[in-house]
Amino acid sequence: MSRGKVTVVAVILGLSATVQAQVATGPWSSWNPSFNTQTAGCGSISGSTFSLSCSSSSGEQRAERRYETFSSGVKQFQGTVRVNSLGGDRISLQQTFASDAWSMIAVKKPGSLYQVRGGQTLANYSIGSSVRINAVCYTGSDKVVNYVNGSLVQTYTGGSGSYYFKLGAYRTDSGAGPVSVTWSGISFYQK
Amino acid sequence: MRPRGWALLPALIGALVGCSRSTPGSVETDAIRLTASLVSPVDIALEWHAPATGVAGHVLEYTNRPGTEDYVPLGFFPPNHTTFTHLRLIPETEFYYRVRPYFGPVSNAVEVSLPKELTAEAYAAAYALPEDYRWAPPAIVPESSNVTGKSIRNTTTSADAAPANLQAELVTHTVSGFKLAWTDRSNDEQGFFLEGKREGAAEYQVYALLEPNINSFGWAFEPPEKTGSFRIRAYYYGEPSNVVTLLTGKDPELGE
Repeated sequence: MSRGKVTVVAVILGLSATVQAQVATGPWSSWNPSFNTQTAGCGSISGSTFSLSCSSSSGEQRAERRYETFSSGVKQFQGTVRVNSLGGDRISLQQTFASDAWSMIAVKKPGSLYQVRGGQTLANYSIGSSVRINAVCYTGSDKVVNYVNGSLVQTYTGGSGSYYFKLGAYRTDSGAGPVSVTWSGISFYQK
Repeated sequence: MRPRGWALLPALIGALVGCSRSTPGSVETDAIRLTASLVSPVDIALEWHAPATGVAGHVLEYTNRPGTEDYVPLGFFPPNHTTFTHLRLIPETEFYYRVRPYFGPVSNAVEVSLPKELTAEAYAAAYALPEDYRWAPPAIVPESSNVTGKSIRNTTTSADAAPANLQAELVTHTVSGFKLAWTDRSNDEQGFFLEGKREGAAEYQVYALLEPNINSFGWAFEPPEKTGSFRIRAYYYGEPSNVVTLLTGKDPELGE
């Protein structure tokens, strides 16, 4: 199994400012969590493009950002992702981690987004198009509410402890690359 | 399915959470007019009127922060489909919408099917296993002969600029993967759509968006689909409609 390497690329102090254009019931303030980049196996990151270059269906294949841990309040992730190409299948794009892998929004062929645990289809997706994901994590009630393109697709319960968000490309247990995805418009809020 | 009783209260909801606002789009006489209404605190119905002819379809797009984030597509629709309901929306949030027409010629259509002897059980079992799809990402394959690209935006050249010679080949080391290849004959496309039609469907749907100059791509049927039709469209977008804005209310089922 490939061993992951972790590179600290950004440490940004959290700044609090009320957000003018509110997304979801607020009031929200901006949040700027730090992140590490994590690559393993055939994963690579160039700017905001995350790629797995191999078709291996085993071992750890990842190219991700891992944002800082939080354990209180309500935190919101927002980002827009485009799957540039999917020469593989079942690749996780965005995760809300609890003590273990928890909510994992992934893409599978020919074109849909699904929740890895349980397999629920969340939305149809056209490869090459952009799709926006909002994930609102309520630490008090240990749940995350996932929105795809503004629509509620799943309320995911059963979390515990501390949490963090991830994004990028990660081979799920039944998946394989290659894949290339580009994230944009990444922002975080808290209340 | 969630209860739809809220559909009876649009007037009250409008009074509570605000009315739709509209900002001007194109001033052309064939401009698309988009309207929106709340049909529950968190459901928005959209309808557009598109008088222009020669339109291949429309893309409906949304954003929550038009000044700072891009519009993203909610769907690609054939010309005669002019409504959409955006469901279970983020509560207490402003949604901005617009519609853009797209134009452009299409290739020949190819009809494909999986082997008749492939049973449903074997199909599902094979599909569930990892398959090698390294041949499938969009690619630019050199043409065997010189092709002079023509404009898809000029009515006199558009037909000759359509993607041509579309072929679909079942890749034998997969259970349902088709390699698609075509001749790119255009020089000013914004990209290509892979459009597909399922068995019994009346209209083609946009399956994938491809960058300009791409002429090879892979697509897999998903069980139980065994037959269908593909075609490739070279496309460009027209002027957007007016922008409409609505503020959602509290989600009665979310409880937050």
